[in-house]
Amino acid sequence: MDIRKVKKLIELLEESGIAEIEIHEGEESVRISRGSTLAAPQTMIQVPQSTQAGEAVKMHPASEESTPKADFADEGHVVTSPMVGIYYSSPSPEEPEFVSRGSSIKTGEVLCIIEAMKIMNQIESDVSGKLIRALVENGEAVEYGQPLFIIDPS
Amino acid sequence: MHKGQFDLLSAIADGHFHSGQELAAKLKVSRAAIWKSIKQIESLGLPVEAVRGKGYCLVAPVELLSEDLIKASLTSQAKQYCNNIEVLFKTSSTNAILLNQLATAEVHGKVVLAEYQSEGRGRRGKKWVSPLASGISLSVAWHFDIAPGALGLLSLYMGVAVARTLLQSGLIDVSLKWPNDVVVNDKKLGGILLELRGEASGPVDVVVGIGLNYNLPSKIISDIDQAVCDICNLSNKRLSRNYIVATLLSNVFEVLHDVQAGVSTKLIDEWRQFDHYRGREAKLVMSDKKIEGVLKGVDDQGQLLMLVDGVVERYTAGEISLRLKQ
Repeated sequence: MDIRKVKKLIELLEESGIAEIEIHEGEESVRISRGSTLAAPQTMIQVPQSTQAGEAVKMHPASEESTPKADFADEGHVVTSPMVGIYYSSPSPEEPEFVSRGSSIKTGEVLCIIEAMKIMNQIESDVSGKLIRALVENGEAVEYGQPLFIIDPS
Repeated sequence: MHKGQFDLLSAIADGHFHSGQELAAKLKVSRAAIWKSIKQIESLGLPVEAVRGKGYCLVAPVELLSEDLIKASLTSQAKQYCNNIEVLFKTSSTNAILLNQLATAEVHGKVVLAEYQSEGRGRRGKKWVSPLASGISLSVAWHFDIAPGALGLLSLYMGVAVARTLLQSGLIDVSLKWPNDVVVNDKKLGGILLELRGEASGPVDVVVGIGLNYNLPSKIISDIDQAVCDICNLSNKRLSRNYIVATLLSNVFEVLHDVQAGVSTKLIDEWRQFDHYRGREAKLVMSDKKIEGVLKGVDDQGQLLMLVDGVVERYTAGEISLRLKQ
């Protein structure tokens, strides 16, 4: 979505007495809401598939359709990739993997790194539990929303 | 911890000869302790000459980092954001220090510098060589309450902050190689590594690590497996190391401010001005494959454009390896 359009929407919201507006345009949607304690409106742009918050995360060549999260949901808690990039299972090639099968995991613990634009994004676990298995190989390209780990929550 | 080595290095920093006896008296240690510390300094990559009857002398004088000198030369904007500067003599990696502090301390606006890094790192375990007092190795931590739209671009923008610093210091022919390698005449001058923790659309902490070659000992230059250059050799005047750090930090904080305030869109055009590699044949190396093509600059999201088999493709990952000019 064009940033100027979003800006225009924010101005519109500020001028009006409306607390929140949501616009859908094809696959993209934007919701702008006026936080009660914040002077400026907060913006949350949702673009499905490859782009998050306007971040450049498109990958080429596009890999096959990512497996839906639901496929693993009966096995445990599924941690998905928040972005498109290259998946790394260890901090550096010489170091051991962050987690392996059977590892006990705490909320906030780093599970892997996903690299995009030479930014090393440390992906944290959103649950505590035991790692059932990792679904991606070191060095593989991952898509937005692609399942990475299945965790048995505790 | 490393006070002995630091005090000794300060005493011989001027590059003149100092006798073991003089140094021992000054630092209130034995001459054997001086000798031992000299050996340690040499093992950290800084060559020292020892001449019987004259004493010890650095092969080239060094300017040690000073928190006060750096602070004094920051722009008023940077002073406002930079709440804490810590200069370490020796550490594993300045990025690692700040990343480890993320969980427990308030590190927004904190800067860590090191005279020597034992595990200075680049992309995926690549080593960044930072011999004692010969480079500029620093990391800056920044917290965004809401991940800005331009987060992916931050990688390129930090390249702009470094390139701008070098121009302001009088260097010429400064190039950026996607996304943020700092290169002069095809020789690497500096590198940048961003590490990020947080949510894509929520709060995020970013650690920006920057390594610049300031005055590398010639032995180190020949040991590194690629063509490198340093600031002192490129400049015809003696540039203060502390002043360059202050200029660099001022530019880094200005970029972070612009990204946070959402006024950073013109930075991509500034990046393009440093892109001297358009039209060059190159290989993009990813972990499991190599793609050959012709570099075509970047799009507005900072993605690499490359002409591959007659089609312009976009990439967000990989490392560019340039084909040498014939």
